[in-house]
Amino acid sequence: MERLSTNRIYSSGVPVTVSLDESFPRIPNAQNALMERESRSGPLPNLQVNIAPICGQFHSSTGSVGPLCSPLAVRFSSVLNPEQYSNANPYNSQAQSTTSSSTLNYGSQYGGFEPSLSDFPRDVGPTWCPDPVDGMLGYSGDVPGGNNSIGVSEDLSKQSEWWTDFMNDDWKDIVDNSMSNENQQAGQSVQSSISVHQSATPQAVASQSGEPLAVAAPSPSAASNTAKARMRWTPELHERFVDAVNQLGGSEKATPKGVLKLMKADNLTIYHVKSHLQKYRTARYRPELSEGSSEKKVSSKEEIPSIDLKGNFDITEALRLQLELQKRLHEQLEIQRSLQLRIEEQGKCLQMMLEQHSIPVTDKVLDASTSAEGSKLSLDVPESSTVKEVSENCQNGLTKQTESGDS
Amino acid sequence: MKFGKRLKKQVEESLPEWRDKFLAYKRLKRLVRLISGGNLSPRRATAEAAFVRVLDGEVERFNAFFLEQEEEFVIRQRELQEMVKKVAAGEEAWPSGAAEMRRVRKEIVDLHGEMVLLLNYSAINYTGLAKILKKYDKRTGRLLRLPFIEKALQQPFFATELISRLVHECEATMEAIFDTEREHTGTRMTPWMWIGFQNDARDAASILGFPLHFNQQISMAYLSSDHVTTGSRLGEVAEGVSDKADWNHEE
Repeated sequence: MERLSTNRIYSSGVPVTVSLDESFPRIPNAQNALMERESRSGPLPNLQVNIAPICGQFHSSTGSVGPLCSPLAVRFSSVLNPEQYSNANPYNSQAQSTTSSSTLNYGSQYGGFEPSLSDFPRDVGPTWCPDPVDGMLGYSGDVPGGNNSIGVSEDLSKQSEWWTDFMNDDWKDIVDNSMSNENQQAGQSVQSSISVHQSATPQAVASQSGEPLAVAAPSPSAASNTAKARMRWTPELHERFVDAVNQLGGSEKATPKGVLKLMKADNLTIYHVKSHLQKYRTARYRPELSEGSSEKKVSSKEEIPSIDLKGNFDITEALRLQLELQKRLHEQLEIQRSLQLRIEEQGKCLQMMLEQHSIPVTDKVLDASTSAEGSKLSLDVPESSTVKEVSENCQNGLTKQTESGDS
Repeated sequence: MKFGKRLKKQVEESLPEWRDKFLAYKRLKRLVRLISGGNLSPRRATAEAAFVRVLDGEVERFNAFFLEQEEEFVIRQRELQEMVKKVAAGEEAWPSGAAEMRRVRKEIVDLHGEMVLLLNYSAINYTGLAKILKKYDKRTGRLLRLPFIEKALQQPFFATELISRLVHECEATMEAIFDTEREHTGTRMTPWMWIGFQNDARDAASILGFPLHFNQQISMAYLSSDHVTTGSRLGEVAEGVSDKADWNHEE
């Protein structure tokens, strides 16, 4: 089936003529299948629809969560104590929160985005250190023993072996990988970060104004962490940085402290400036290096302006083509992203609609409603004004998103 | 192509520094299998808590990596623009002017490519998250997916507007710089030919004289995005959505 809509986009957006037919020289077999697919589906590739098939299952985050929710927020060591479930239960109340305020809630909901996983040793979350592994292994080893109240069965001990093995392999891997990451990133803000992130919208707004936006909410138990909160460097902020550096005499002469003072930006700590300055210096240093050497190399190539390869193209052409390819990939990604956002929106709308009619939102229901054009609702949903309203709102929301997302 | 396989391929083709920054999809799948296998309450709760914890950790990692790369790109973009200004205005005598031009072009294409790859990174990790959450919900009957995904949508690693903007700026800069000279060309090569050529000569660098070090990954990302999900529910939804939403606005 031809996705005409996407072709329209491509034809207006991409200034490249893709003439498949005769102009192709012999291309090795690996490409033939590709070419066939290409010619079958039209001049340009189909819209990438590699989004997870999530349309089928839109789950309600409200209502019937009940006893299910407690394990989610449970602290690791509190698993054996049912009483402790109560402290971890903001889930129900949080479920209704709006997205903009939800980040903090999220942190408390899942206990993972907070740096204070108190019952659990400094965690597999933000910081990866050997302790959690031992803790976990030790814990998993303990589980069969600790389950005396339930009764230790053979089955259980087998499972715990399996579990221990799993933990041994996987958690160690996780820890190892992250440890090496951490070592490479020593001194950067990654190490003790964090917790909760602000939502994207405030960031976008603030970034336009050039104000630094720290991507972290202060959390009660981590005063030191705010110092190393992750910073989002926008071009505007960077511009101010460069100005300050130039005022101080250049990237070599400038000191983090001086730059920080000159910039007069809130939320910016000296750690941020330090690491940024380091990156800045590296970025300037390398081009200078290669400048010297590449000139020599390239001047010898001046005698061979075009390299005689398949089809006799030169370097610029190669670059141009590479660029085209990249541009197209970019377009596809943008489309994919807006589609992903829209799918989520649609799911929410459906959810709203169904709830308005007090239809229990289960998987079956949502699966049925999201089939095909949505007009084939297998439920008997009476056409009331509220339904129309909601669906209209959803449509407006969706359309708006299209317009804003695809510019 | 199954997602796990696709992810694996992308990881293999990616720059070495990037390889361990992707979603630990397989690991999470195993966790889900474990969870659904064990039916005893404490066992299950343990595994579920671990699952959530791993997920959180993954998102954390994405954010960290993404923001770091973003910062670097912001810096490089600005430096490049300075360079472009110099080269465009400088017009030094041949051959060094041309050499500069060549270098700048290459730098721009490199930067552009890396930024697009970062966008791809974001997209594929998001997809992986969505998929694994769906699996989780399916196996456990819990309702973890929707709230988690909502939060994921707001995370820095998915808030790619800035990078997208940088990419567009890069493309604009490129228009200027690629059009200044009238290059003679032999047979026009199309992008598909270019991919084919790259796949032939694994090391395009040796022929071109300089490395386009991630052209492999770009091709990979581009090609793998071309899988058609005909007949799937998703395909239908995509159709439905694109019909409802007014694509004509694009024109």
